[in-house]
Amino acid sequence: MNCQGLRKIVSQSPKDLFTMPLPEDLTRHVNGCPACAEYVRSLRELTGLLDRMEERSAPDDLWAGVVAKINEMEADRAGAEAISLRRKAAKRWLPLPGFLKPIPAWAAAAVLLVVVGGGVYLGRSCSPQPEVEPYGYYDQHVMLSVQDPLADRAAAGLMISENQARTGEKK
Amino acid sequence: MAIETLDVNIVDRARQGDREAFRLLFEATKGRTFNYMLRMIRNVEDAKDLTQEVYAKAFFALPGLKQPEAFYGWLKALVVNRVRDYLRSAPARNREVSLEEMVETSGDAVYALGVAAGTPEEDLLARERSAEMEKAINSLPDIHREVVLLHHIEGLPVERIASLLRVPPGTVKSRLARARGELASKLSSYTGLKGGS
Repeated sequence: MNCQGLRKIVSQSPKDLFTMPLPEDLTRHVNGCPACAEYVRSLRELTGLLDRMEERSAPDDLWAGVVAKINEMEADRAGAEAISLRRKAAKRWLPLPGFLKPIPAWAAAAVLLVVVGGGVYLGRSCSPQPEVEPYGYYDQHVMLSVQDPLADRAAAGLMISENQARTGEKK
Repeated sequence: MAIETLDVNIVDRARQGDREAFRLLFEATKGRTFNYMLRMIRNVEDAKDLTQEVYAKAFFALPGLKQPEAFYGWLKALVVNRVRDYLRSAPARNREVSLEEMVETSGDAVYALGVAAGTPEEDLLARERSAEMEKAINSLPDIHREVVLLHHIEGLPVERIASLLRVPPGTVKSRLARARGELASKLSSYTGLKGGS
């Protein structure tokens, strides 16, 4: 045991160490080392001073303040309880179906979806739709002819083959 | 009724909301609680206010205490945590109150340092020594003062302090060592103690 080791052990020890005889290994070192003996003695004295420190008297009106705070907290609690009861009573006026209670957000979302979807559907069905005039054969023919000169012949060939297929004629 | 001999039946009655029983518990523990608050906070009015607040909260939390015999440890945990919250929230400059100021603001004998009765010379010496020690403790950083008070004044073992402060026991030991070193060096001129590390 060297001086550094002893001081580390002693300084970090619980105060019990200073009110009882030192362990044997520490005593051996302290007996041969005046500096460490003085160090241990000063820590013992410090511990003694700390242990002898007297308590101050608590103020006389301390309990009165505690009672006042307890009453204050009780009043706050009573107020909070009354609010909670009022909320519970208000809830009773609007009973929710049992399956909706655990999922109020889902229920609200579903209702919103139905309302919005229904509105959109009704809006579409009630508003006048523009009439779409189907292209006649002639219009298609003219359009195809403008886009592709060969389409004219192709269309004619297609028409003939379709007609033959329908009537069962063969070339 | 001393803290060490707190009657479990009284704790039980207090748990059921009996204010008179709670007052007995308060009377048995108020001295240590107030002294710890005062030495940690260093402001008489705040210490008084916080002490009252902790006891009021304890009154409502008491029904939740599972083991009546652990009342004092449970109360101590409430006190330590409340002090820590206060120290975290209050700026340090608002808390700096000297020992003299503490004694002056408190008036006369109410907060006066308790000293052993003896001859006038002995009383004076003991008073001076206590005042010097109070000053030295007062000047320690919060985390060092906390462990010194809990260990030396409250008599809590290192392991219990570690669990209260939620730090490893080694941290408590090293804080104790530093605090003792600081105290020894601060008191060296007065008591002949030598500071050490």
